[in-house]
Amino acid sequence: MSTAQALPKRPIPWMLVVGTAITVAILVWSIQGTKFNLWVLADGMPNVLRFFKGMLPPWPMDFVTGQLIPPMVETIRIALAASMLGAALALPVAFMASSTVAPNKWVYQITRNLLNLIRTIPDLVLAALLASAFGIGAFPGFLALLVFSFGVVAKLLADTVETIDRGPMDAIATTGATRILQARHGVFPQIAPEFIAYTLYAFEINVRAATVLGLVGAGGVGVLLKTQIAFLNYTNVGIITAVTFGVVMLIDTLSGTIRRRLV
Amino acid sequence: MSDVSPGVAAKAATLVSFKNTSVTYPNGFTALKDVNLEFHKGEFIVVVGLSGAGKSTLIRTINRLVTPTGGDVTVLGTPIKNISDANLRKTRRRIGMIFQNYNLVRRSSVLANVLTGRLGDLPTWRALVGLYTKSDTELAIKCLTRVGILDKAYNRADQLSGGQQQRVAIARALAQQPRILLADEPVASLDPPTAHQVMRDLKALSREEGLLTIVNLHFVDMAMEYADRVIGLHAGAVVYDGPGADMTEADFERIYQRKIRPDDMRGAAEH
Repeated sequence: MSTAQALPKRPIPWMLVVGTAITVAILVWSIQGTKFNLWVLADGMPNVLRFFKGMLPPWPMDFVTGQLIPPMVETIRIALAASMLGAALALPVAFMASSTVAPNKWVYQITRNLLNLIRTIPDLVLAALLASAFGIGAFPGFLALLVFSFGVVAKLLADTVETIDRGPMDAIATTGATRILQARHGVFPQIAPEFIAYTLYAFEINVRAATVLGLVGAGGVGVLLKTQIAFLNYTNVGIITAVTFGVVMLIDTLSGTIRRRLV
Repeated sequence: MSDVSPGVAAKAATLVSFKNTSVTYPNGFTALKDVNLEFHKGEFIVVVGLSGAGKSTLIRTINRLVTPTGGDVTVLGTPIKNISDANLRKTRRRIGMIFQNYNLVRRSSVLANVLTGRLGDLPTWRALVGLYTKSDTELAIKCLTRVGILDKAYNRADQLSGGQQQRVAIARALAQQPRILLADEPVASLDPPTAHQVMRDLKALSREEGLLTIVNLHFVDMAMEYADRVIGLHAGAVVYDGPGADMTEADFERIYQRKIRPDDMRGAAEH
């Protein structure tokens, strides 16, 4: 056996020391920016309690049926229309944005970059912009979610098209069919279940987004929420929140179940 | 036919002619070297050679999945090297092709797969919607009957066995009403009895429809059993061209550059 050697002196882990110091500094600086204050937190608690009490039944049913249900239905209609039309528009673009189907590198690069650009615009900012252009109401909200659905479905679908089996497409190419027909009959049947799943996924996100669109004047249940907050009517704010929560959860569960069966 | 010279009028029409055809891939690999060949209506041709000898390139040059870098190939009367996209599609409509991996749309029905063979002949709007005519469907049914799997018409393609899937692929090619049938290693993924069945089907089709059929095979014994004419390739050059029955040991060694081995044989059909 060889004689035991002394353990070499431990080097100072500079990366760890400096990294930790920087992280702590950033954390302190950012919390100061939030004006975090424990006293303010405690002071607000009764309001929070009042809000939660409002969520509990019995609810004033004339408010629910007369004022809440119509904008809630409108919210769902905005989300449905935006996700279905957005997905339909996304389908051909997804083909152009995938290297397997795109007719050339230029079409591929340009559509890819366009899709990346579209997805950087926050939907609330877009809705506010569109509301100032086309007036307050459901229409600008629908347009904003249409753009969002288009972007998200096109991107996800383009990535799926990249992974398909190219064989059927090649086989259809050798029958003398154009590239569009190769995509339609050789690629689309392979991605159809994913296409429906992504549309449902966009719908789930749209329902959630559509509930707050009203805050920027773009229709749906958010309009009602905004006025009730302005009137400090916390009971009604609680009811709106509870119903919205229930509807979103129901749609998420339903849509999610269908999606898992599909793919 | 327009491309038959008076001197050979008695011979069947020339459908494919390679003239000093070479193919060098962008990576510098030369797959075909100065190939001169003529293929005629009704011929059943088997191309043999080691992997990398240029078998696949030879077949794929005919429907221009691969573009010749030197010389040209005349297919159904049209030189294809500088052909326009529209004319290439028109030429491809009359060339059926089957592949080693069948290349079916796995999630679609057998009938839907066969009908894609009709796309090239449909008006664009009908083809986009997938609105095939009654005569297209009748033709597809005829083709499925011809390969003996009409009863599977509404099954999903991926529920079928390998041999059945290859027969669907043959039916799809037949639905094009082709004059030339290309088969790139069509039996490489099949067990010996099924492989022989598919080869017999291809041979019978070629006989009955007067179809020029060009098949790539790895196995010499199968080539000899089925081919009217064997083309032997080595390093991109034609080193044998003649009837399969006339092949000698020396011919094998020219193609394979070594003595024949058991794994060059698929084995006899168990019929």
